[in-house]
Amino acid sequence: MKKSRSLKSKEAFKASAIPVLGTIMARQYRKKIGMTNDFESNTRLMRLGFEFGRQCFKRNPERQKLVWVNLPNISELFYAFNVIPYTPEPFGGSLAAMGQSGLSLDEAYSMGFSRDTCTFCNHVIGADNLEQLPRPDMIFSTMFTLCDAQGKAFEAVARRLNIPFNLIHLPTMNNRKSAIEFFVGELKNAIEILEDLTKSTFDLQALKKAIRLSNEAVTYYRKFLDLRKATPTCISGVDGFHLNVPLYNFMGDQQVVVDFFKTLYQEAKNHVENFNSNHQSNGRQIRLLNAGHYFPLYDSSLLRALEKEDVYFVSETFAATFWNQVPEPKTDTPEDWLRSLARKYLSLPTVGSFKQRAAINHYLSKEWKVDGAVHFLPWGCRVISSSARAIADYMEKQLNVPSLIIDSDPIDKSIYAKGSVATRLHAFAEMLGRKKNNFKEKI
Amino acid sequence: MNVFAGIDVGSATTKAVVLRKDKIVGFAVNPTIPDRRIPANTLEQALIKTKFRKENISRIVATGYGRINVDFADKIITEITCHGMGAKWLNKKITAVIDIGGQDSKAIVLNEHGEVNDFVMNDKCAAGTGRFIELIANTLNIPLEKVGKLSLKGKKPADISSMCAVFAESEVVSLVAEGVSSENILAGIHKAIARRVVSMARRTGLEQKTIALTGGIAKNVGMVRALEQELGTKIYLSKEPQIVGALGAALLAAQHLNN
Repeated sequence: MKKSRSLKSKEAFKASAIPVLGTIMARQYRKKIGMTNDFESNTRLMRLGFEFGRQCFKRNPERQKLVWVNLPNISELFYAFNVIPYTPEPFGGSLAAMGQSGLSLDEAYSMGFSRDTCTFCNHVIGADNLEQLPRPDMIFSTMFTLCDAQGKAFEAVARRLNIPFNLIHLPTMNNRKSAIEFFVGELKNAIEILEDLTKSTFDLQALKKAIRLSNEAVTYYRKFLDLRKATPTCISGVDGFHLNVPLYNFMGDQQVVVDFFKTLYQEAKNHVENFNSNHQSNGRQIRLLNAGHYFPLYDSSLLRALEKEDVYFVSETFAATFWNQVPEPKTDTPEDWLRSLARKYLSLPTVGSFKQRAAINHYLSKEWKVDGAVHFLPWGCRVISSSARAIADYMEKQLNVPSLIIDSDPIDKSIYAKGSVATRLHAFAEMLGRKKNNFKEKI
Repeated sequence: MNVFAGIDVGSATTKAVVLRKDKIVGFAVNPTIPDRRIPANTLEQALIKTKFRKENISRIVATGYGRINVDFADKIITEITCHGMGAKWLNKKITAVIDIGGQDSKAIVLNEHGEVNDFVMNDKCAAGTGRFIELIANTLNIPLEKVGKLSLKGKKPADISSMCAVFAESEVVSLVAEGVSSENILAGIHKAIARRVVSMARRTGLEQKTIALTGGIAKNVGMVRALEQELGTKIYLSKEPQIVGALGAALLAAQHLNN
């Protein structure tokens, strides 16, 4: 009897303590990474993260498989097989935001990996060696034009862990029928591998369910992004960035993610409406687009200092990597559903050619009414660094959007000169402010 | 009173300028040392030569990499904006500025009002900065104020391939061991810095402009010559190039209050 009562009270304690602890931890995490909003969604985000972590680490490998993937990962396909697609890169981002990424990076460097390669890859290698990441049953790497390092880094991990490794090639010619058919072939190949891995057969209904949830999550995600169009914006760039984490970070296509974005959208909408009824735009707010990689995640004070001067990042080109929906197929056949899936991934704005990236920057600049664009370059990423000048020139000359290129790194703090980055950002904001006000005076 | 002050806390020196009715009435330059009182002391020194006291100053603008530490400033503005403003005020013809400071170098393109139209700034690296020359001067055991003149005597500039300040230092040690003269080494160093700064600045179309050189390095004749050769155009210098940023800050203090 006693035992049972003790168990009961333990359960009751857990039931009441977990939400409280979750709220406290969410507050601490928020503070640590520099978020300031008071949305309930922060706590939800924290709980989702914990739940997902628990699911990854505590799963029974016989009943549920886990694969490592990189962005853009074809999450719908994995969820159709009840396989967890775990993206280790953003874990590095979260660690960096909490000022903790040094350990995994140092581990990779001490293993002999070069400091001059992608720091996200080094983080994955180091964190895996430190056993900070859930062990995968297999690794699927998506190869596309914007990332040349992940495939080899993942292959190195797969070899070390002695697990299977598969590449999914994502071609750039998104409008070509041949590209779609090629990618459908890649998907079919992945399906065969997943059937072997899970000892199950492909279930179209399961895929359709995953696609429905994925599309629904994207709908609310985009609605949330649209709220940042408001003038003046009242959603901090730091918050705007961190709140979209579940969609591309680790949650994939689950009902909880849909619910998260739905709540986030509602909360943000109320916040914006409330703000707008109390504040009138004086037209002086400087609005920036992050047209490069992520800002230095370990130092949110950089963006906060700008926000004190009414300079806000209102959009990120990278956000567009996750906002496409799977279109309706022509017929309800597996072939056509795979074609639809292919269309989604082939049309991702950051996947394709320069033309595609230029087009998305054009759209974001216009719709989010930006005054300037900042191109944060990640250390060791040849692809983004080598294309940044061309993108910046396009924005300056064709779109009349002044651009600033900043060499830094989102997760490796050792490649960061705060004074220099801050001076450039503030000087850029001063320049835009004067241009904007002069323009107004002339009117 | 219409007295305004600008304070430029650079990595090597701290400068203060006091402005009254569109005239510089006082200025001071001090080495930046790890002492929080340096900005206030420099301003006090600048005021000594005037009849004003700190209480008479209507507005103070701080600039430079240490700008956020000037707790008595009314506003902080970046040195990029301030150097542009100061250079334009000193010479109306100026449409571009090269500022080589202690820890970074910048190229700034201006509009007709001295406002920034475009700029580029070097990355987190001492190469292409005043500190680089200081380092080499120490290695060669030559006083800093003499390196510019000496570099002009170098007829065969040494080829300095590494632009990492630390590697270049060891390269200089090797050159000395090989018997290369200090003049030629310094000529090579000045040339290498000029090449680096100009290659960075070229994107702004700066060589088509009327350029002023600001910052302490403008007092180095060797650097001025090397930059002119690299740019293929004449560079304008002011009498006190070190205080251009502080002057711009003071001008912006005045402008802000008048607006």
